[in-house]
Amino acid sequence: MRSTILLLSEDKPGVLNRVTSLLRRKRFNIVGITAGPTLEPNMSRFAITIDDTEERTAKIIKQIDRLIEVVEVVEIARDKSIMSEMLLAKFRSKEGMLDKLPRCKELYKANDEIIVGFIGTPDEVDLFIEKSKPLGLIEISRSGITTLPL
Amino acid sequence: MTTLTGAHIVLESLLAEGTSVMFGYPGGTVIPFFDAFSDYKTLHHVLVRHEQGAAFAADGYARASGKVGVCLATSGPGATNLVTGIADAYMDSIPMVAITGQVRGDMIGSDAFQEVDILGITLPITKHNYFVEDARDIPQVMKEAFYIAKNGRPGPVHIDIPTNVFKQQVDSFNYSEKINLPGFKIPAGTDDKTVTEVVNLIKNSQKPVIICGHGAIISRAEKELRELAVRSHIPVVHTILGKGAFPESHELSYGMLGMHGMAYANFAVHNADLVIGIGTRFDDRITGSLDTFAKNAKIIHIDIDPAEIGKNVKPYLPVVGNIKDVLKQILEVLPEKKHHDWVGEIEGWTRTYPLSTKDTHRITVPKMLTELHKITEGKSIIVTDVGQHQMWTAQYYPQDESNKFLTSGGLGSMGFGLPAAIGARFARPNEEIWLINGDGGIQMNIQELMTIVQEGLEIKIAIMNNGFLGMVRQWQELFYDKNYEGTPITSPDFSLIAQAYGLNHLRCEKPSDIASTIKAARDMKGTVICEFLVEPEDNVFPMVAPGKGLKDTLIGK
Repeated sequence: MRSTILLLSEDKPGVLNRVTSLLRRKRFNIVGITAGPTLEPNMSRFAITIDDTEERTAKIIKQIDRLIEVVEVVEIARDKSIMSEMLLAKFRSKEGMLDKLPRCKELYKANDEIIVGFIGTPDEVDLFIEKSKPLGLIEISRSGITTLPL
Repeated sequence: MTTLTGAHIVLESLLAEGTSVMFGYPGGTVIPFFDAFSDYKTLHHVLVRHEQGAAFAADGYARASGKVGVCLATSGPGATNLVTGIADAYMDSIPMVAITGQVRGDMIGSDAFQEVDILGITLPITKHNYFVEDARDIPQVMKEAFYIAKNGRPGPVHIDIPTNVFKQQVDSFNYSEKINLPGFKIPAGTDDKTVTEVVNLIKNSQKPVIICGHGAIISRAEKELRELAVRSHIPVVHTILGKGAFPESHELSYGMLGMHGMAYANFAVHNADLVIGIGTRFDDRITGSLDTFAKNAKIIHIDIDPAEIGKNVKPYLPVVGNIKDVLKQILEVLPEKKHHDWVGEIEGWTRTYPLSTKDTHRITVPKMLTELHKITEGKSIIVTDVGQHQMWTAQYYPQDESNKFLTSGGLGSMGFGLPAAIGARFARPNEEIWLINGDGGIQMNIQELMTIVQEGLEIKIAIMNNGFLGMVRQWQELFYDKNYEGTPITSPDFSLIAQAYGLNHLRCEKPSDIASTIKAARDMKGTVICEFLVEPEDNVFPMVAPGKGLKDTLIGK
């Protein structure tokens, strides 16, 4: 079961290392991870997506909560949150290509290459990639999921 | 004191925390620390002979005193040598502050001489760790480190300090009064609803049993535990680290459970309809196979660490909280009850399946321990190493008080005994201390004998010499067709070792001399190496074979 864990921590060096080291020790594979500052000074928010059983996910949340810098940690339910991911996609440019890919933004254009940005739910990003493949998609970079509860 | 430096601030902070003794070993990056040390006459530094000894001594000090143990080493190999002792403290929830020197800040990352990423190494074996960039941060870091080490579920905290920070001049020392740890939660009691549920489960139970663990001792809940057991007439079994929390001479005490626990303790848990786990993490060595563990029982799990609840055993009723507080809450509403039939059933097992020992004309470890228990009236502080003698000591030296059985439980670190006994001696200067060790364990940190001599300490050291790494040999006998590969071990002549170190030595070769040897050792002043030549191929029973359940406890050979 894929789930996203949202945690609020003190913004101190090494917190990301502590969290990922813990996940490695307990043998979790990280699907995606995003991190950044919050409106509160000296606080960071991490969104970690893992794919594991419900039981193990519940256990790792309690383990993460033991980390001294972690102030709050919750599992985010999909239906009670906004989940969003950013995609950067590089194409060999073709005329009229962007018309076939709605909701994306052109970020860079050269003679033969174009880079676009797309923001959506993880499923929408998957779909966007599928639709892009026949259109000369060369390379992608996904940001990983970030999330806010409703 | 001329100018204040970072080193002074570390030392001032130690004094502010009430530290009176620390265990360490100098080296390049901590010379400034030792330089400042001369200004602090009330703090005693014990020079060990290997940094692992420093960590184990701090560990033993913490176990025997209940206070935070402090150890210190230099960067690189000094720091890595502390690692086993830190991991040991982490597994057994021992409060410890370990300080390491680090290479100069501007050289970190350059693979400088004696540089190692010790923060990265201790990250998974500490409750928390710190790197100090600036000497002005030291008071805050030290305050937090001690606070974290001893509060909630205790554990080791590591502080890495570059040598330039030790030397950095600071204006003044102001110890932090405030703690700013928004993410550090310390549970106290539980809610009334949970208390009611606990009481109802006890009321409705016909066959309750308490498994008491280290947590009961850490939260000093001995009195409450006793009241709970007596008022509700509940048999008590304990984990190895829970030894002494409930008096073993009490009629409701049924000894240690687990892999080498009493058969009747294991059967009590297996047949119970209610298991109350108090400050235990349901380690694999006590549960045996989880598939069959206490299958007929509802399990109440009381622990201060929410992450322990449901980690190994799924409880029917989880109770997160400080054990003393939770037990007090329960006792406020708990009615009296009797379980005569159930207790009678367990009593029956004690008669059918008593502890049994090998029938031999030689000395066995149980024979020696039985004499020791008689002569010391069960009142000595006991330190063990790891292996057969450790299990036998847990079985044959029952105790009525907590914090008197010092052993490496979770990590099972050989070499623990001798340095831990040194730490215990500083914590309890006036009590009798016996170190029970094996011929393997004593040789793993034998260099610490000289620490004993330099400090003028008195420890009675019993070496159970069987010429084998006994516990592994036992497994080889039982599960590997007696293929004794790697386990026969020779020893130096311990009388010459004793002579070389200037210590007393006694050797006991036959059972009839055990009592007189123990008495002679007690009458001698100072440390005695007391060697017992014991049956070479003796096995610890009862035993739950690996992968088996408690119901399959093997009684003997």
